[in-house]
Amino acid sequence: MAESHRPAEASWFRSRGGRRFGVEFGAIIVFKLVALALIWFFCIRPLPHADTRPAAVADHLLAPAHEAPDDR
Amino acid sequence: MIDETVVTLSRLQFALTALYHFLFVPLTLGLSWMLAIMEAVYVMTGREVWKRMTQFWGVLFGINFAMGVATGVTMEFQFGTNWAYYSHYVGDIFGTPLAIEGLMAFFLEATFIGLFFFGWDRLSRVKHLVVTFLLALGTNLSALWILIANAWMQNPVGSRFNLDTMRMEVTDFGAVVFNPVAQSKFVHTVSAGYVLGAMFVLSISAWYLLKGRNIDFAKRSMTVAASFGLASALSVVVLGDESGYTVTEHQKMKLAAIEAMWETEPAPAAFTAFGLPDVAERTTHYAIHIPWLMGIIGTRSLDRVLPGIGELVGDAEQRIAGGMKAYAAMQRLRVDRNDAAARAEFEAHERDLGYALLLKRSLADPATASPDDIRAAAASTIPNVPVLFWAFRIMVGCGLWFIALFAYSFWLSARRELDRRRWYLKAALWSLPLPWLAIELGWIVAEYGRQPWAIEGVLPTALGVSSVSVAQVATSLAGFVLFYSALAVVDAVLMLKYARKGPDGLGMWPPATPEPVPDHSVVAARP
Ligand code: HEM
Repeated sequence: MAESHRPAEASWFRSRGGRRFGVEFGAIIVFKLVALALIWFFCIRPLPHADTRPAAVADHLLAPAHEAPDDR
Repeated sequence: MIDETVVTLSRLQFALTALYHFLFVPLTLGLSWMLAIMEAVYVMTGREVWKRMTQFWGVLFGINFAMGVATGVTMEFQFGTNWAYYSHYVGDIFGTPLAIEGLMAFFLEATFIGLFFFGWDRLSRVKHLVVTFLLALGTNLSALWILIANAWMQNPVGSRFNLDTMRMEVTDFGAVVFNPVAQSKFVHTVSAGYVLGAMFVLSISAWYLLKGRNIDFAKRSMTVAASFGLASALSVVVLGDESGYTVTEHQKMKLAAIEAMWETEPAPAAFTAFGLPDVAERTTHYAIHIPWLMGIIGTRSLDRVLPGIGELVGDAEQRIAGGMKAYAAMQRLRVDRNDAAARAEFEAHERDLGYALLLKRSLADPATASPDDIRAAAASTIPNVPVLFWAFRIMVGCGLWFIALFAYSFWLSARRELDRRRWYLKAALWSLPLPWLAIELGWIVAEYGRQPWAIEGVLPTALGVSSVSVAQVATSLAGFVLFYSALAVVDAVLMLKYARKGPDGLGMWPPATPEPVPDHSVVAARP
């Protein structure tokens, strides 16, 4: 049917209210991605990396487990 | 020994982020299909109201999507920070479905959500409908991969411990993907999402009817919600029963705890409809039993016996003893990798290694465990019975209520009487939080019920935590709580704002010019 291939009529998302919604939608996502990147950069990245080489994991499982990060 | 405070805080942090993330996911799962249904009706009938319905519920869908997207990323942060040993131990298996899910989520969902909102005047009706359909399919497929990963934690198939790399590795990816637990989990979880999507539309529409606004729009929305909701509520209950059956097969202790079945009963076991489980006395006070029901649900038979908690603790003691042999062999192999006798001993008891690791919570060297240590470790395999007992019953109670409510809504909509009974509209409105409650409780049953295991029978949760300090976990926990609380406030404000405005307040409905009588083919272009 030819009609089904035509573009649908002008959308509410192009109206003033719709554009405002679009801005809010985009802003939330951008804000969140920035917040998550900041959390990662300042809170997660500086944390010590666990040593997961097989020998270290064997230590973790077989010898007494660690209690604090600095005893690695 | 293990620092239990770090373990508790890490678990709390993961549980809070997971529960928060799962406030959004099921609504996305359910609403996306409702949008596809509404738009399909629009494409078939050409009636403007269906398009506006798709767009209005699409706005609320969009807010939920925007608020929920990436809230799961913090769980992946935690795999690295708090659960490094877990990630190492099972990363080979767990990582693959998570990576596939990430690709699906970002490429499929992100592309189609953009086209859904901003493609209305660029795509033909049929093409736009295909976009909406693919959006729904994409969200549901990403749930599938996450649930495959989760199901492997409940039933770790297709994998084996590798002594050289000291971790679990995939031996049969097909078995991981076609894990029977993944199948029952997927259908139960997505149906729960569909129930939520239907309830969301039903409740908000009921509110419009109570306020006397958007009458035609709300009644049509409720008609879709009633039929979609009834089908979903029926399937969530039927497929919940299937979940119960797979739990019986693979996690007998979880099932016994859900049922507060302290001792093995003769087959077929009764279902305890009500009772007050008493952990200290290992009994359930004021129990009301429904004969046979549990045996039939759990075993699909009248003669197979369901083991009680006491018997399962006894089994755990045996497996701990076997695991200690595997553990001792591992220690010998550490000294001499070519010790053939040790390797043979390890392979004979490898299946029980995880049980010996339970002893690490209290002992540095499980090989030195006394009978008392073994008994205590075996007793630690009992999850929190009262929490599971009640969480399960509230979830099931909600399920039965949903069937009744949607069936009544369906009946009213067939009689075109949806706006005639205020008490019904109020009941529909106030039922809005219930699917969320049932869903979160469902996850509590599934995950809290798996304790003390991170990977059932393989890796105790306490051994998966990283060597971080209490201060480090407490700080990130506080950070996440603040971040998520702020998001929750923004979410609630935006949802309420757009729902209150409604299609009329947003200028979506009624149309400026009256809707033409449909000729089932052409819809005039609107300026
Ligand atoms: C008669 C009704 C129901 C039964 C028999 C049932 C059964 C179950 C069982 C046995 C589990 C645990 C599965 C596991 O540990 O692997 C579960 C989990 C779950 N349930 Fe239900 N359920 C019912 C109703 C509901 C309802 C009404 C909802 C929400 C609308 C719901 C949502 C969930 C969710 C989200 C989970 C966690 C995911 C999963 O493990 O599948 N359930 N349910």
